[in-house]
Amino acid sequence: MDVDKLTTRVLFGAGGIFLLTSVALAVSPGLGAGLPFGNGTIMGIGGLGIVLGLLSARRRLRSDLTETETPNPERPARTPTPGEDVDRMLYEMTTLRQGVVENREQLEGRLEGLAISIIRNREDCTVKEAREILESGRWTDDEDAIAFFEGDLSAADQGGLSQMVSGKKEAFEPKFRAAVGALTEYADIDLDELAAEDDEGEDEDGEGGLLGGGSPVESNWNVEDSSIPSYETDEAFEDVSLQHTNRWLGVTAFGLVALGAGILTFNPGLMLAGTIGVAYTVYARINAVPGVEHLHVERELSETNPGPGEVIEVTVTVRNDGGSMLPDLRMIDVIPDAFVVTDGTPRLHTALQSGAQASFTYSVRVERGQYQWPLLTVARDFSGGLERTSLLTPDVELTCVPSLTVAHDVPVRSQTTQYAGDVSTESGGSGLEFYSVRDYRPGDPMNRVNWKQLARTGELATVDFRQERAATITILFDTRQSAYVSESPGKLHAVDRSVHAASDVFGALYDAGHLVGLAAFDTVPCWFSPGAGSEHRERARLLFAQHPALSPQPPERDNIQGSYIDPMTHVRRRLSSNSQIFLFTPLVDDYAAEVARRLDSGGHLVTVISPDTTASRTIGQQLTRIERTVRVRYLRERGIRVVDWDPDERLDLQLDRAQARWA
Amino acid sequence: MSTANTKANPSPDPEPNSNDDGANGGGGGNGNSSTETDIQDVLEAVTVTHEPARLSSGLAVGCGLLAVLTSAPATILALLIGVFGLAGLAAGQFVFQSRRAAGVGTALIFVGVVVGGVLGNSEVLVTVSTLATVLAFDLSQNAFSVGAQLSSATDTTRGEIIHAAASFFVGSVAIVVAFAIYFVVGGGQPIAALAFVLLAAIILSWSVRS
Repeated sequence: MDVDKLTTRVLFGAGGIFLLTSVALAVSPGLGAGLPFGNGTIMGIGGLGIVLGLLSARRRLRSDLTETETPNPERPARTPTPGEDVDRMLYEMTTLRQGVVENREQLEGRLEGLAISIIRNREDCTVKEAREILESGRWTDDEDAIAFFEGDLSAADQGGLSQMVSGKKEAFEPKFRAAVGALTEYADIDLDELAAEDDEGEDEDGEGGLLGGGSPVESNWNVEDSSIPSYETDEAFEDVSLQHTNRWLGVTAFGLVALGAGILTFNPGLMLAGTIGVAYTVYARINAVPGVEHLHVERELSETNPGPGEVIEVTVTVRNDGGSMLPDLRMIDVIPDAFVVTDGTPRLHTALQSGAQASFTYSVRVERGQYQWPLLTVARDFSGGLERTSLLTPDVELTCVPSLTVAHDVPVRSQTTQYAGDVSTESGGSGLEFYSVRDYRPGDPMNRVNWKQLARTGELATVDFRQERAATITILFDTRQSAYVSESPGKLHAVDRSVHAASDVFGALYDAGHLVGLAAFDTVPCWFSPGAGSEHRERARLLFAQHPALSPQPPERDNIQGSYIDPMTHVRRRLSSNSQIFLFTPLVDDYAAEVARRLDSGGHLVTVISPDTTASRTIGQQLTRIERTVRVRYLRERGIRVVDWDPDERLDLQLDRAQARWA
Repeated sequence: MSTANTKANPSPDPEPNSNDDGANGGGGGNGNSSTETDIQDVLEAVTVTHEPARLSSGLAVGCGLLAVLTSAPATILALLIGVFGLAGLAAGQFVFQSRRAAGVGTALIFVGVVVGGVLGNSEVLVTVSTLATVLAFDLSQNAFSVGAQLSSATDTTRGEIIHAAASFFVGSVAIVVAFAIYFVVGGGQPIAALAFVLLAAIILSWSVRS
């Protein structure tokens, strides 16, 4: 037993003795005659009471409560919008005045690279010529934009310090904006949309642009937005904390001030009133630890194997199997971050007698994966002075696996294997469609001899039919942290969209008889060799749902700069040489485009399916959108098929359209 | 929270054999519906707000009003202070949603109660208004706590009522005991006895603090 506890006990005991003495004195006033108390002493005690009471009230006003902060699992998870880094850099430079030189260099470099690639694309020239055009300013009429790129050159000469001293940086942001605007115009990108949303973007850019203010949807990460360090638990019951809430701190003031004032004024009413404050002080101190461990929790799911995006109903029932009452029970069903509550509330606030039960129901939109999630329980005693926080995990598992049913055809390119299949090739052999007639070679099958020609001319000839072959296809995902982006908070991020689309594509390709495999480049390696058969398909379904690289939650660690390993290494090592690639990536950085290009030059036929998650509300988002459009053009120039997928439209329709274009 | 555990546990969903005719009508129909859920991506999440719980807030303001009214009869000064406090409390609960504003408001109400008592309010009224003030304090704080930890959409009635009832019970018992002592003594006013009560209160409050 430590000293604090002992002191508390002693003080409490002494207080009790005083209380009893006073009762004794009240019952037989004669006892008091022997005590050495004068009126002065008593008045002093009264004054002291008031002072202590005020101090206690002051303490209350200055302290914070220690209550468990609960998450808002109803809300969708927060994923950044592409371009936030640029906005942050601008904000740091203009408002915080931090890292001016570094940010400026970085932004200038980035914009210059973009400008050069746009000019090269348009003028069909070399890098050197493009640089000349950029410096000459022939590409635009906007003087600020020209000045931006000129300023860059002189900055290299002058060095960063003189820039800082001369205060030129104030002019940076308008020039930057002008440059982005001019490039947009020059590159002929989505002008209408940009112009329309531009004004809006400028308005909120001041305060809201960076801070994500004005976002229509509020978001939540369970761990970040609550005071619980982790929701991962293997046990059915786990205590997180047991703490005093301090919510009664200061209640003593009611007693002390009333008693003090009562004594000073010889007012019996106030002295009586003072006892109320004392009573609550004692009430707050008598704490009983709520017996949460005796709670029995059941969670019922309307479906235990739903598909991604389906809405299921969840009913949670709690029963108090312990012998004591739980007077204040607050429960929150901490559904996984990727889930979103669409109806009802996953929360409960009640009091449970021994043996009583309560329940609540809500609807939730599920996402792929295998989940078991806890129920956060905050239980208090009667006064609320003591708070016990624990995690109760019912033994219910939800497995959400895509069905891989076929929705549409997926255009496959002409790289094939030796197996018979669906893809018409440019080579003759046995088949159905006429391809060519050639000279007879010994060993040609008799049924392909062109008998008519033999009858007419007496020469043997062989008819070739177009061979139909199966393809080997690897569906490759970009699931690096940078791919977890969405066009606005609360929308599906690019990886979710990719995996949803890919599960349809997988089904379509599989049904067309191709050998389909899965891979992802990320810090977590993901590889599933192309194959066929129902077992292969079943394993792919589980992989879609359970592989950590394809998780709806972004990987926690960023690419570690120090020990950088190219995330594509493991994929490239295993990829068979005749495999086609379906690459799913939001194309928000150059690396993804580079992956496509390198695979293409490695002899694979690449189809890029890229959900467009860029927005154009802020200058950074506009920049990212231009960069992405330029990347798409760059890839198409190299003969790589790119489906620029507007996520508001259905992918199958866009694929049909693209197929008509490619055919 | 998704597990990397790829234990080959084929789900009970009897799909795998439908691959042969998957491209035909049945499979296509299913596929269409699943695509539609895919593209319907605007997450119609329910909104979550954390306003102070309405019932407790209302009860707190009601208690505050009772405290102000019962402190008023002796002097208009008590009423004046109390009304200011009540305004602070109500604004803290319903307008600014600020614990601090509500707390300061309650404190002001209590100042009004003490002033009323000093200036000659009756014993019963002073006791009742003090109880009402403490209850207002407790319920207001509870309203904030419930609002923050749960949400406005949660049905919190039962929990709030139990809490309010328990607090009311404690205060009532205290009043009954205090008046019992008072009437047993019969107005003898042993100042020493009350001094001891005060000493006890101070020491008890210390023991609570440490």
